[in-house]
Amino acid sequence: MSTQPPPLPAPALAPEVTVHQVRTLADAFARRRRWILGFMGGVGVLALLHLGTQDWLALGLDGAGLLTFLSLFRALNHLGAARQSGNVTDLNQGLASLATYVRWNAVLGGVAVLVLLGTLGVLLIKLSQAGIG
Amino acid sequence: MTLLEAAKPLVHHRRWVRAVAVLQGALATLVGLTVLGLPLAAFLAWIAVVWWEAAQCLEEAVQASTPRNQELALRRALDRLAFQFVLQAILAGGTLVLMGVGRLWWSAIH
Repeated sequence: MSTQPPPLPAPALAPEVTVHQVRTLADAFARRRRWILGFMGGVGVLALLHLGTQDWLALGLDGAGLLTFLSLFRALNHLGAARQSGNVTDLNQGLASLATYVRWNAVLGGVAVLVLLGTLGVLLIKLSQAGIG
Repeated sequence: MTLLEAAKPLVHHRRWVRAVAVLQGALATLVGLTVLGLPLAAFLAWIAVVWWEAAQCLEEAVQASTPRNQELALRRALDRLAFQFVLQAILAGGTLVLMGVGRLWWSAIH
């Protein structure tokens, strides 16, 4: 007679999210709302100052950066509502908007690094040419 | 809806969060190599570390064995993400102040 191995314990079901948990999670962003708005305002002013420089690459990056703020602003609003109401849908939508912001931030960060690398490369080539000349 | 399901959009993007951390670190290195100087590079590196911590916390949330640990890891991740905005706000404000001072100094010597 073959012995059967003991059955594996059933995985514990994850409990439903509570109102308190939603409020606690949304709190970090809701608490720093003014800082985040200040950051958006600061970048906006810097972009305005770039307008006079005719540096189209920097202006393009500024414009794209400002567009990502739409997602961040939406995230901030949803997370603020989640902290007020404890509604899990608000938390979910807020985090979805935050994720969109993160994705675009990564793309723009990549472009910025490439631009900086290109600028440094050109600078090094010019310096070496000047050295040879 | 469970906690991880509620946080799914962000948890799914944890590699993007790490990508931002790496790119921010690269930016800090490049800035450090140029004339812009070490203080700015150090500040950018700090922001990169905070992004990295957020990515780590999201990873911990996925691998957490108990709902309580999951909640704590998610809370830490959101706290880190919110904190990096504080640093970015200081950076933007500091840049504006330095630009203003620079302009005043330029107009004073010319």
